[in-house]
Amino acid sequence: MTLPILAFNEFTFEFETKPPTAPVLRKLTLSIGPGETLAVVGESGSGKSTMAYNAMRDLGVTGRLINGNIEVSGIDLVDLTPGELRKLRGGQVAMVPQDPMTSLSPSVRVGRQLEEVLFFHSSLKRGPAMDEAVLAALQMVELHETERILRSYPHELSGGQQQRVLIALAMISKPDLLILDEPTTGLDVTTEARILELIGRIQKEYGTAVLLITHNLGIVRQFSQRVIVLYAGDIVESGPVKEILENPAHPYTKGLLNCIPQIDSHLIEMDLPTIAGGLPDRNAMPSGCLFAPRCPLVSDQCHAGIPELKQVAEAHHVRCIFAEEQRVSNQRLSSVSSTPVPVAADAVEDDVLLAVEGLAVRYETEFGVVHAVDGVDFQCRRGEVLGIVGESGCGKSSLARSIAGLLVPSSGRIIFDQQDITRDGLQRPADVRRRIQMVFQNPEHSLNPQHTIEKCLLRPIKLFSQIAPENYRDRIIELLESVKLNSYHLNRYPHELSGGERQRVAIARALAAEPDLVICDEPVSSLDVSVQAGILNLLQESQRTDRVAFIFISHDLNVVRHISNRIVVMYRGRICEAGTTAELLSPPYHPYTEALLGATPIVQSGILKRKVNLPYSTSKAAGGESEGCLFADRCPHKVGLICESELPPDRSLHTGGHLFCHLSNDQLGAMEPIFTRTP
Amino acid sequence: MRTKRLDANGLSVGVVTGFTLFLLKRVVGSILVLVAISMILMGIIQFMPGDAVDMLLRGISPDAVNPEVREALRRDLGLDLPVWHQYWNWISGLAQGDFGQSYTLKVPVGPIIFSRLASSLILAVPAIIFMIVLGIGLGVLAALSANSPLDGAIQLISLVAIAMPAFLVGSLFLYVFAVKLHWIPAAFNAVDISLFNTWETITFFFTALIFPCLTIAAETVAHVLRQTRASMVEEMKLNYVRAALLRGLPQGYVIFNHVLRNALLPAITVIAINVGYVLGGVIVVEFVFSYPGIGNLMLTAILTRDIPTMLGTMLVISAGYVLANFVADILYSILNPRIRLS
Amino acid sequence: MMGSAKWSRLTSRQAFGLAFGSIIITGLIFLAIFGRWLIPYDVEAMHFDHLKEFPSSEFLLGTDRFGRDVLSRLILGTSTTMLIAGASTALATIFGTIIGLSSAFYGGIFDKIAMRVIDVIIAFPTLVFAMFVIGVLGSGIFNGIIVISLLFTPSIARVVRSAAISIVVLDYVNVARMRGERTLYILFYEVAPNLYPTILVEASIRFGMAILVTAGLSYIGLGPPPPAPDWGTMASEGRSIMFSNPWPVFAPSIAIVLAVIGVNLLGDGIGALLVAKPSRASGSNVK
Repeated sequence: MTLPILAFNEFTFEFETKPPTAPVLRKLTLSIGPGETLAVVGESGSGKSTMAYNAMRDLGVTGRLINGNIEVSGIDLVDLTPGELRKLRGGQVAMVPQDPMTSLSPSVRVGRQLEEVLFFHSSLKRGPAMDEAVLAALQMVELHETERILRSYPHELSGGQQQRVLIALAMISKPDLLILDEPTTGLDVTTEARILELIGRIQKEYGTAVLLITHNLGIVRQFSQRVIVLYAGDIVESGPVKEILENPAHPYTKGLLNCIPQIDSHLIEMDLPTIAGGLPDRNAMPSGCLFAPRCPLVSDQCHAGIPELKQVAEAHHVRCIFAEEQRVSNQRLSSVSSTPVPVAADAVEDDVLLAVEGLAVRYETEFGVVHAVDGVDFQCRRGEVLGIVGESGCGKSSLARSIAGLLVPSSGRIIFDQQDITRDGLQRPADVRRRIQMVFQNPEHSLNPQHTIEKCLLRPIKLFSQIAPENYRDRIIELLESVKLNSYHLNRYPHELSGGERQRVAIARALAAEPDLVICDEPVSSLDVSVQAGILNLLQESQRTDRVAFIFISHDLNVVRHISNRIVVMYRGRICEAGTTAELLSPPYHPYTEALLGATPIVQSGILKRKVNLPYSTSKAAGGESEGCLFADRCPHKVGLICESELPPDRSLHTGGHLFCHLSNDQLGAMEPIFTRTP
Repeated sequence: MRTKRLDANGLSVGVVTGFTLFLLKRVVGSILVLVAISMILMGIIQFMPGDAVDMLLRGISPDAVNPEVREALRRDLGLDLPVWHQYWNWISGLAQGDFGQSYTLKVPVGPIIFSRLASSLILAVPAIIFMIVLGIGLGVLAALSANSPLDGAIQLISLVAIAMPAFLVGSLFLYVFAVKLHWIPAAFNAVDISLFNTWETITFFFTALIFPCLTIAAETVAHVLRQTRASMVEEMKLNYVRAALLRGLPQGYVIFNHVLRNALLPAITVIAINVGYVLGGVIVVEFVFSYPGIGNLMLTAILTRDIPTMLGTMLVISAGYVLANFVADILYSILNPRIRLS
Repeated sequence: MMGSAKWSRLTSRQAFGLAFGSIIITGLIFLAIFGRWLIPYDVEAMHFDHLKEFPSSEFLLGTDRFGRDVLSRLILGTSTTMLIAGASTALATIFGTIIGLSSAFYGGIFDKIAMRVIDVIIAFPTLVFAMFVIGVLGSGIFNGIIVISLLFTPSIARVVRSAAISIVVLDYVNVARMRGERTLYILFYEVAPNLYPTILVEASIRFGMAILVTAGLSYIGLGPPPPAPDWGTMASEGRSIMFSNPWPVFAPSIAIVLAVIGVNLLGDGIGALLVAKPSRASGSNVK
């Protein structure tokens, strides 16, 4: 029997804190054989990153091994001398860290950083042999502008390029094990898809074992063979990927899978199932099953002790007393009880609340004029959720800020309820200010750290509502409860709240003004999947009960699709396609929409996704004064020179919809759907 | 850096690249600052209570002085001219190397200033070297052994060093090395270095001159040390350091080649500020040790209302400081590729 | 203001420093205000039969060369030093904050001009320039305060400006702007509460420097005129007899050292307590 490349044996690990807290990893046991791929899935705080760092014996500042050990190719890491450990890192075991922007040394050129690794891990000295090896590494990760990249500093590269450099750095010494820590966070969905494909190819070609750490169940499917679900430092489920995704058995796994909107969730109006509560507080761990406090199936037996890992199917192990029944049950576990209601076709009013015409936002930079938003038209109706989807550089932020009044567009018109508010900026009439609100992306920065929650909510009530001062507090509590918080939070400061709770406060603040339109700029992007679901439910409830319209901006097409009635797809400042959600998901597609759909990770079993091959984006800057289609240089369906020289016409067959492309209607009609159900 | 570029017709077009432009801008900026300083200095002089003439004539009974003589004296010194005219005279004189005439000593100020400057530099330059070497070295050492007893000791010592006024340190040295050991001469200006041979010069330096030098250095070393330590500690926490170490690069290598150049950036600013302090703080130290340097010269000039000398010394010291800032700016941009390219 | 104070952020060393610093500063302020009623002897009284004496039960810190009680002079000197250093720091902080905030908020020409002027003033080595100006305009408490506050205002302005700029772009300020709040409201209620920690830390550093500059100036004879018992002047007067009795020099010097250390520790402690660091760090200790 061959030795596993990596083996955790009853590994228990803690961070020393005052007062002492529970261990981060508890008796963790797993192994990866040579050439195998294992994915470890967990939410923030589950211990998955700690696990990855420990595989290279990086304990962090206060980390301490309590029990068990870790072996690489049979050798206990603890037994290695410092010199041997150094050789191991980046040699036998290599890691691609999270966040490419901050993981590359900012003042050392990329070429040099590649050479260093070779210098310290191989016998190569500076010279032709080393240059060749460096070039080969760049080729391996599809970075073809080698001259430029070698001489660049990290901040001169795009996110995708930086990530590929990190992969090259890791692979350059042909490691036996490659550890990927959240390899796609912060990247565009299309870039993410290509990078995952790249890693899959590298893995096959070099036979490298891969340990993939992620919170995104969707990418697990792509190239992992096995998956482990980690909860509070413990393995709660493990098995082959296909089996786990089709027949999850642990309530937590089921919960995680259910939180992700199903591919047709927009056709049925229903709250997303959420997992109530949060990870257990390390200062007060539950006795018994760690998931029990949040588990919808909880029984007295669960509190008696931590369940053992039981086998429920071939290679499929679960840590739950209800495992066998759960595996075969299709019961949708949820802390939110709801009965599905088909979405009524006329749920949204025809009354146009916001109309944007020919909007353009231009900036002068040292590189020339940047067209952040380049001639955008759309409408948002009263009570409608309009989703705006696009990747970095598409102009969605500038668009949001224009509508919010934070910046004045360079040209075009914004008409709100028949009033032209384009040039007003923040000087817009007071009632318009009340009726248009905004929720920002980063909850850490959108709440004033020096204000209590009560103070935060008080101001909009004071300014915008007619409530008498003696009723302010009641109203504040009412608002808190509407976002599933309570009076406990009144006197708390933002830093005492979790990310999800802070975002709820931000939503409560927006709703305090009783607005007609709320602009949400990436409101769930920084949140875990289970928390995300709760926020989405909140927004939908607001739409249902108060007829609030939302402009929901995100790069995550799956989330946008779930919540929106209509969707606008943007690319480099211009609209590619717009229409109802159903229209957008079925062919004909704009080639960019097709690529976005093809890149969106799908977790649902029983759905086949057609692959779309999209080249990497070539430039960082937003669209220029191009005469033709801005997508032309990457488009897999490019017709010819006409794409670069002429603006594409509108091919949409639906009223109110748009599809700007040079492809003929016949060609568009011949497109295959991206998603099909397996028979 | 000139690169050859060809325009549409194939003719070469010389291009001055960004860095040279950057350099030029800084040079011009520095000169402008100096000009501004000179104007401000001149302006302040105008507010001096009492007349320079009065000072000069102090020894003589006021009754004996004829108002006409006073007027003549004023005209002589150019004090009757309007401010901007006096300023212009001064500046144009400077451009030719003429600092004017000392009121009290009746000799050109220029040579005095520069010989005194040379003496001060004998103290200042080694002090600056100490500051940089010890400050950065100890700062890095403290950062690498953060929270250890060694770090604690270094931090404590630097905290005390910052708080000690220069005259205290100087007095301590004097007490031990002048009174008890007789190493430091009672009056430095009695000693003529040009008469020494090499060995004697070195001995003299290490037994006598080193003390005023260390006095100046003490406080500045502490400032540089604290800043270096703080920015090293912060820098070491960043993701890229961890990522580099996990690639198997040795710790020493990572610190010197990846971390240091980023961590030193704030330290450079502090060093520049402290160079200014060194150039100025010489005043107190020279006072304590009775050392004939530019600082003491300025003090004397202030006390005797010798305007040309005051202006001259002040300008020279400021110029040194502006130069230090200029060098710091350039170094900063060399070390930080992001600034260089913008 | 103390809302974001996280006591858990302090290491025990910092907590100790905070306590130590607070005690010292409180003590100094107390002495500065109430000193004149606590001194055992009149500061100008010369005891001719007790010249240059070492500390004794009669004169706890000894006497100087004129027979004056060192302890009394030290205590009274506290108020002079604190007055000059304190007032100039306060003035510099007030004006520096106003300038820095205006620069950050209104930008434009005002900002550009202010920055240029600041660059020029910062270009002056502080002590030298202070000496120059005082030497020209005459010494005295008032002049001292004016000069030092003038010299310190630019650095504070710069610090406040850069802190304000980084706050102004945060989303909660945008939220306030979208509500239609007036600029002054935003300044006072949204931005300022987040600036206190930075300003406090910077002010405490400056305070320490002000003490040193004041002492330095009086040492070379440019301080408040005698018989004012400023610490620097005391040290200077004690110079000639230092070799027979070092106390007149060392007593005020140690007072200076303690004061500056106290202030710096206090500033460090406040900074550690209130200033939230951005969470870019990974906190690794890879060995």
